[in-house]
Amino acid sequence: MITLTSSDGVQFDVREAVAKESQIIRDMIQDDCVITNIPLANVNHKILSIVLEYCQMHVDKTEMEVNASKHQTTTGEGSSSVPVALKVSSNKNLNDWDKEFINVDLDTLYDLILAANYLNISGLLNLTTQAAADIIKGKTTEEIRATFNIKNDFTPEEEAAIRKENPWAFE
Amino acid sequence: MERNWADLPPELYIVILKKLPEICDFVRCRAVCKSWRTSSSVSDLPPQFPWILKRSEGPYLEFYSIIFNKVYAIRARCSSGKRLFGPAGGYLLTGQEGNADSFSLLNPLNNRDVPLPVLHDCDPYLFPLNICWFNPPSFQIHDYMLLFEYGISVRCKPGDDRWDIIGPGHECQYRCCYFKGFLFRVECETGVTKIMDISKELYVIPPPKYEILSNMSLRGPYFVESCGEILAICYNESKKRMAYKFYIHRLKFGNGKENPYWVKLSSIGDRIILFFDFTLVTGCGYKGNCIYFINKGSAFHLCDVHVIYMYDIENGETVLIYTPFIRGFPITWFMPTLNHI
Repeated sequence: MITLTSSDGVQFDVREAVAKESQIIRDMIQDDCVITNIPLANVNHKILSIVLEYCQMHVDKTEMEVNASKHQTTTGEGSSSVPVALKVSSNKNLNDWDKEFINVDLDTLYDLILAANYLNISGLLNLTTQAAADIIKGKTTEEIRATFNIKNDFTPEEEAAIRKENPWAFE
Repeated sequence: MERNWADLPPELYIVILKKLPEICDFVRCRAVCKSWRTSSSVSDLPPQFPWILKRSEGPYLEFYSIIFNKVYAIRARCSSGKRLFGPAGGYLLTGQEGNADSFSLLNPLNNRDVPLPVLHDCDPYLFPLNICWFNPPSFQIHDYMLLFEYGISVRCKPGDDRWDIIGPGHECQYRCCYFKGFLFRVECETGVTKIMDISKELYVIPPPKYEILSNMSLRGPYFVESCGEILAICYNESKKRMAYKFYIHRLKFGNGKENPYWVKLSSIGDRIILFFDFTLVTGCGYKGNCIYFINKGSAFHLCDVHVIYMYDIENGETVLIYTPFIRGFPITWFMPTLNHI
């Protein structure tokens, strides 16, 4: 077990495999194998608990697959197509789970992107940035600003010049 | 909402931007605020699957994206006083109306263009009717532009002050490929491949053996360059143009002593080949090991139709791909880019 401490002082005890979903923690453990407590200065407890939920789920799924394929090899029965089918269905479940998991408000999404980047969890970074991209898709520039609460800081002249460059994209 | 997305670290904003493959999404997203604009560049545009260009006349150029099932009508500068020849990668080769020897490369997506040198050696009587050119959709602005005109082949890079003549000349752009200073061309009668540099022939290579099938016609070979390899594409086509079988060979260079020779390929991995103006795009993130090709036929004996097929190299099946540009004007490939010249 490893203890992760959030920026606001909340401690989370997690299995090493779960913590190691984070590349930065994996590196720390590799460098110093007796490490048991890791303070995380940039992630508060609310975000850390969501991140750990993600890591837990992905570790569980991977272990389940490994066990299933081990079982397959030890029993030596069945065609080779069985583990593949199993893997496909479990990937599908995991994708569904990810989709549900990432259905969060934009403040949380923002914090999750930063946390995934800081902790270097490539799957979570991919999932969160894809979610942000999916929100942007199909929206006009004004709609993107309104959705993400971004102030238009261009002068009217600057904005006109930008639109003039590729006018067809704004029609 | 408390978080200010305009303050997102630039490297993370870029990660999001690179997940917007549809070009309008990408352009609009870069227009949101100053920090999003300045921290990104047009070259962050994700790899594009080539568009179809409808070669019509008029103030708007129409493009179709197969991937997004979307038509882009773009008003381009070539409508006023410019004559449109056709695509060279993400650019259009245009000529000045009434000034037969002046060319430029135009990017219709941002209306910027770069003039090419005046072509002094062209035949004023035939020109520009018989001009043709070779440039793949992967064509970049620092690559050579190739023109063929009645017995002469010329090349230049944007920024050059003149066209270089490549000899000996020929006129068929479909049977050649230009790569790293070498011209690979096939002789129509014999099928023999000749490799030449700018002034002389270097190698003469016998053609691969192709299957002769009854009730099918053999077409090709045509050459493409892909990931530094020269490929020869040849296909058998049924009389009704419904069934196809493709053959792909790779040119293998010996160790310097022996002549180059053709090696048959059974797969092109994750690459795709676009046929007619055959060209080749790699690593688009779309289903690979396929040949996309444009074909012209007649429907109901009434009008010309232009259709796109996808040939799956793995299983040999040919699938019809929908485009809205079926009737009327010819269609061709176009590689969208936002890059400034």
